Amino acid sequence: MQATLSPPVRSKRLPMSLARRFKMVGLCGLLTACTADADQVRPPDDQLFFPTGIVVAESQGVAFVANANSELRFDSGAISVLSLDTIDDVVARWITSGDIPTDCEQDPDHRETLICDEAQFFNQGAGVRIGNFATEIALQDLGSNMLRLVVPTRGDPSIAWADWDGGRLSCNPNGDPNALCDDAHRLSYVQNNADLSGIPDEPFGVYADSAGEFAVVTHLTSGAVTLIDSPKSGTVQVADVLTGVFAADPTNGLRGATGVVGLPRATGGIVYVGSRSEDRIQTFTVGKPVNAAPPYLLPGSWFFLDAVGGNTGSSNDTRGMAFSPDGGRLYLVNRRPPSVQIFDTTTGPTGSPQNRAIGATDICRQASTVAVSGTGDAERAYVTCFQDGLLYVIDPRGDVELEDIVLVGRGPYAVAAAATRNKVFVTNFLEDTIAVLDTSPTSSRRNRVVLRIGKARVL
Amino acid sequence: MNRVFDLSRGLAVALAAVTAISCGDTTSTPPSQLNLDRPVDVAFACYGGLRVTNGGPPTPTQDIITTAQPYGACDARSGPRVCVDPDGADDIPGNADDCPVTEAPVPTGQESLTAMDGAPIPAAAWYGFILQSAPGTVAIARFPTKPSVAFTGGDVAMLDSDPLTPGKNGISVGEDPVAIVADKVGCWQVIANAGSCDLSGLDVNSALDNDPSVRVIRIAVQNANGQVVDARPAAMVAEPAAGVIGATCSADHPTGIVYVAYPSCHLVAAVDTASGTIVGGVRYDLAGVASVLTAAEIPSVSCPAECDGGGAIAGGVRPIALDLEEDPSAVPVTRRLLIGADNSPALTLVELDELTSLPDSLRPIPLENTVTAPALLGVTSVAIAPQIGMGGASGVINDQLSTTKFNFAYAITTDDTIRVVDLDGGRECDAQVDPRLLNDNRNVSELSCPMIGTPGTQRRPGARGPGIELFADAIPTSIRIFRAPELLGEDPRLTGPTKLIGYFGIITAATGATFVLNVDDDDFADFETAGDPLEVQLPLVIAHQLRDALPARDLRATTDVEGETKRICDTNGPDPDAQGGNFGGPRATTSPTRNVPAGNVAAEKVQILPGIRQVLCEGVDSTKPVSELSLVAPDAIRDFEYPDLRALRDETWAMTWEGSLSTDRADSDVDGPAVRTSQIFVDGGGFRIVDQAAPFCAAGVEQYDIVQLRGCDPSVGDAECPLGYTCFVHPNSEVAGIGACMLENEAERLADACKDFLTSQRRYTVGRSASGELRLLPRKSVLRTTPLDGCTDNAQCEMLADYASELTSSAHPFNDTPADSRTWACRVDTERAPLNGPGQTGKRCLETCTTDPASKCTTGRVCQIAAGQTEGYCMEGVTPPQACVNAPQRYELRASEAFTVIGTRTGYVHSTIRDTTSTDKCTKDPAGHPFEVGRIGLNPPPCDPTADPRTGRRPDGTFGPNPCSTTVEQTEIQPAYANDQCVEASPATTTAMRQAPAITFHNRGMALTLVDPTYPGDARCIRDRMGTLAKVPVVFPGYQLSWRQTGGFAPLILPLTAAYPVKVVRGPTGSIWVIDEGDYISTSQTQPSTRGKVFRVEPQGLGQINILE
Repeated sequence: MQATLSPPVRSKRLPMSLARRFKMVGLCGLLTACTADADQVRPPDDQLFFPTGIVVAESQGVAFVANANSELRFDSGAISVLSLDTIDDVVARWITSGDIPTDCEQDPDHRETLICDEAQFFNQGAGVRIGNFATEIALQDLGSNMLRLVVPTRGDPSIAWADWDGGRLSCNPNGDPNALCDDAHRLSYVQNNADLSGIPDEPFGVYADSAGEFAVVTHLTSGAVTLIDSPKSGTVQVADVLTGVFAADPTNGLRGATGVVGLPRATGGIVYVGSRSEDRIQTFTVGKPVNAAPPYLLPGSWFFLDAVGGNTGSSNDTRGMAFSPDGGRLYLVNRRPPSVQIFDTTTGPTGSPQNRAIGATDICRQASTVAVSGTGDAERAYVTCFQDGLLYVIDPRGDVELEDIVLVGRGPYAVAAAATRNKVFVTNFLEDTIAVLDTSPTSSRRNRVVLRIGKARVL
Repeated sequence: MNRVFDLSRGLAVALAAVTAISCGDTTSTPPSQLNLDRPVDVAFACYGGLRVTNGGPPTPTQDIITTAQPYGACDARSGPRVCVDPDGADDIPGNADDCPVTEAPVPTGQESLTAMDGAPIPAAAWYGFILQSAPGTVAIARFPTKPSVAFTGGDVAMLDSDPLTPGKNGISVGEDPVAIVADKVGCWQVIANAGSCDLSGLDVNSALDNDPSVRVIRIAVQNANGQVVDARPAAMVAEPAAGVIGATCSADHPTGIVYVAYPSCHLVAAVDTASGTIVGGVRYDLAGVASVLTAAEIPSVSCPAECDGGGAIAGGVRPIALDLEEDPSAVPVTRRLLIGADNSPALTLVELDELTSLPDSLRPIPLENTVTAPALLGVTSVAIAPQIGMGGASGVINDQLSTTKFNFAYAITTDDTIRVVDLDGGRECDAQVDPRLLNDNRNVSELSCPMIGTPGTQRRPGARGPGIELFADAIPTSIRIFRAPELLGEDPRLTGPTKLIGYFGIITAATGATFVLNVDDDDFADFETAGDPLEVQLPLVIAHQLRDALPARDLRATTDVEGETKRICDTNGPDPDAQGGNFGGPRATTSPTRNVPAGNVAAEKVQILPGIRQVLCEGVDSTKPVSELSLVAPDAIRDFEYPDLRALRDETWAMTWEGSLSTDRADSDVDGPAVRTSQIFVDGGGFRIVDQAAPFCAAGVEQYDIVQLRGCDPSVGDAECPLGYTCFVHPNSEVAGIGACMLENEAERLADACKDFLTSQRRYTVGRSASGELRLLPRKSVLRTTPLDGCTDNAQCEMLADYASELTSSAHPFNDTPADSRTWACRVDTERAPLNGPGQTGKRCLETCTTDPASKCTTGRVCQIAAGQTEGYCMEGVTPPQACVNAPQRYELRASEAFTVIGTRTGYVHSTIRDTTSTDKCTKDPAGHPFEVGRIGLNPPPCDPTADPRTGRRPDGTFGPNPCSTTVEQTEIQPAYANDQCVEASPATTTAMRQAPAITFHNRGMALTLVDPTYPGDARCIRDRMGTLAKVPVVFPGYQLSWRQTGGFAPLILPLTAAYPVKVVRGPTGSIWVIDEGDYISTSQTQPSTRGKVFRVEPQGLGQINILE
């Protein structure tokens, strides 16, 4: 067993954090095996350990991966930085000439796949350390090649954020590489004020709005929605928390907010939030008062998921949500019944989004997340199937066809697309790998895993 | 939703989170044996005993084998049983008394020759080959050869192709298979594989014999030059079944032609399944024009190598939907291929050679494009119907007798409708013609395929286009047309919607529902009956309409008196909530209810308020006034009021004076939230509500409408305010239950500055409505009894104020002494709709106040006096300083000086759109139908006597005003007085008829009449109507008429428990097969989860369903 170290000193500790800390100290005192020092339990910055969220910043040539540290092997989770150029290079040489670099091997079971040790793909020293059990990553464009990452972590619970300056992430003023995010970068309290309420449990989904300079986080077990005020310059803070957005499921009592995504707009998006307990999508906008008070959530209209399923058109347990690049389509992944549903979100004749179901297809059970890549005829949705280890590729044209089912690895969690590089990345939570798919329409390996970053953990 | 300041935290987070990581799931599903996995298609085969005659005469010495055989062999065996008649009597088939012994018919050459020492022929059975996309396998089901009406629940059973592996296993055939068809002679099944861009052949004999080995071959599609066509197929159909009954399956490959759609190649190829060679086809050029491949083109036809990454895919028409039908009943026999593309608003009809099945010719059939550019209409599924003799109501299919024959095809398009085309005429039919326009049409030909775009075929209000729309906006996924023949002998079925005789469609939808479509119902009338307006509900019986599920649409309220049918009046009709289900025509379940907020009118005077017209019902049980909406209203009135049953739904309607424009509650999403939340800005741009979601044109907000700010509810603390805000109630406020969210550290400080705002009713006028912004104007208090044409002077206003006060008194006018203590002035109010019509004064009675401290305004109004003046106006809302409204603002949108007409399912109907030409302003859609309306003012234009009262159309084709003013006969119970002291007479009431001022109103599904928009006042006694007030309204905000509407359209839906049905297939003996691809995760202990199902439905008994899963 390895200990999980407490974070650096907070301005005001959570009671439970203290209690846990004392328990850990006591436990360490009793167990002679608990002798690991800080360096030994510090997470490496060149390994994957229970990867969950992933986002791609194509313009920066990087992808950011959240390592959830779900086994608590290390003292924290991490956000690691992958070099897209290195990946492109390895894949290109593998496909065109069959080159197998050092620390790589051909997958004996899937000959089109190259398996590589992950260290060569990481920008070492560019990542940061965050809390355990990170879920997703949202990307906010700050302009001038600056990015901001917002990452819910369920362990604390908190919402971590870190800024990317083009070369590395930072979330701690000490400037150390791979530093642990400080309290200011781990949002736990409303308005960063420990005397106010903490954020609800189980932060889960996240969306960051670059134009609106805010982020929205959903909470899996409470149905709450949290607003993060994220100005390009200024204090990042929890600005508003709205509970009771979704009612409890009458059959099992569960409630929860899950997927969240924003309709891309130049002036700040309309945010769509899904639920695990209701067959309803709730929209929000964000109000910014003129007196410089913190922004707040403005609940908008809602619509029911009554276009698919169950002989009565009732589906729920929404998970992944994504918009097409032009914002004209909303893709929803629902677990009951398992389906991808497509909504027309173009502006209607009245000036508001139409939010009308236009298509659907059956998918795997226990689907998790969805990413959309390409435009026009090339637009495809990629859905991860955690239980089956599959990635479903959906062609939205016509009657919405399932184009491909791809075996990607154990426990695929999140998916992200690099459209101009014709690649899709899937984090495999249960085997500590990232599957890289070739999505080039002219490739003979289209929709196949051409590279597996990391060697699958033996169960 | 609540905002909370909960300080509690989750405990033991780390380990808990390990187990509750989001990718896990706590849903438990009951274990179940699942035989299917994502079924997407099914094809059929006949297999069993066969005498090998090779088409010759049968002899006892010929070999008897067990083999696959042509489709017709089992078809013949599935016919009606033949009577075995040992005594030679003339027996009646099916009658057990007359014919105790029957036997199955057999095809020619397969007769039993055991009497001649021939070997017996083993039985043959049907087999269904169910294609499963996810595993790439074919599952097999078996069912007997017997008449379709004889099927029972256990007749269709799954087989196991691998008994040594647990469960019932399928046969692996290919990667991502998309379609399966039987080959021409029934010996092979052919599968199109999208994952490997080829075809597979499955040897039926090897799949069904006792040998566990199964023969599956891969067929690479190639051109005559040997180049492989490595494109992804999207659909496949086969040429009609043929073959000789008595021949063996000797070929080691399939036989016949299949057509394969290759969308990325813009090609539909005719492939010889024996060799995989393309032998013909249809190709779309870059301009989207289809042509038959020429002999020169066929050998070199090629496609991008999608499965091997070679070649770029060029843009172009993408064929993805095919149907191929031969109609032997047509003269001459037709063999047609219909092609639909998902990015082309046209179908391609290909005439095939009757012998070779190769294309002879083609022609495009354009479809009306109903989507907005750059989107393009496309087709996702097509179905060809056989040639149908339209018309007929005798209960016998009249194809031979009818002189009006049509060959329809149906196409599911990307606007989520089903288009209808007349293949012979090469044109699209309009399935959305307003039935009001067809009421007198008796021309079966015109009714079968209405022309698009003619004055006589204008569409019903709200129609998206010419296509069939499913109920509740369900997304159609597949359609197939089938023939439901009459039963021989006495038909045991109940007369009603489930009795199908004629031609009908089955439409699957993404909702899981499976709808029935009327094409030609030969058991029911085809047009209105002139003398009996209720006998035929035209919107339900004309071709291409969803079939209705409610029986007895022509039900009247009657009773039997000594053998004669007599009308009765003391009934509301069938109970719509009865356990046995609803029936009967459209009606209000009770007379409309008047909902009267307290304090506005005395109970004795409620009847002076506007109401829904009442008519006289004369029955054997009573004679009395009844609502025109009731079941007991005269037939002609009911027929007039419910002209389009398809547009009528079961719901509760409410007509509310100055009611909300939006009705959404927690369980509905009809037309927007009743209470919205946005930001308010008070700056150089004015006093504005701004919403980034741009909801205001969608809500139908008009200039001069009302915005009622709702503040926050102090009874729930600060829960309706953001974090850091408090729900502040001004100590001087007399408006109950309304606070305002203000920053906790600012509320007290701003109390004085915000006093007028916080103590007012906070009602505002919409000065300008745009999609994302409403400009608000402070709203003056106006006397509710202000004449509709405006007031004339202050004295009149004071008099009418007294009258308004009198309305709240229960006393008779002759001894009432009302006194209104407020002051009123007759002036122009620029914040309300102008009164500048002919005969109007332009002025309203406005509540005024002065600087005198004794001057008081009505509660909730605040006195606002301009600087330097001594008199001002009582305001319902004032412009607040920005600091008072920095928090989110909750508000309602309400109509001004009008009733809103809102259905709980229909919502508020309007034709407001956003003006995109210059501004963001909300405006009326110039193309909107005049019946797309949801508000009734009290002073609408007079009805045009030249306009048709049913359709609203004038002779020149334009529409008269809607709503419009008129006069109607009103029947009511009036009080009777014995003297001028208003003493009740005996009896105290009388039933009387009078000519009443009225307003007629049409919307999509109904027409109704509102009577008494104004009241003349009483002279001495309550409701003596002897006053002399001219056009004085007595309504008040919140007054509401409501009624429950029942008997609306209820689609006939097959009783299938499907999750996501994707395809309908016509099976043997006219059976309907519905393929449910969907994965249903059950939450019930009694119903297992599935990975898809296949249903077999018997058209002659829709409740007879076989389920495979």
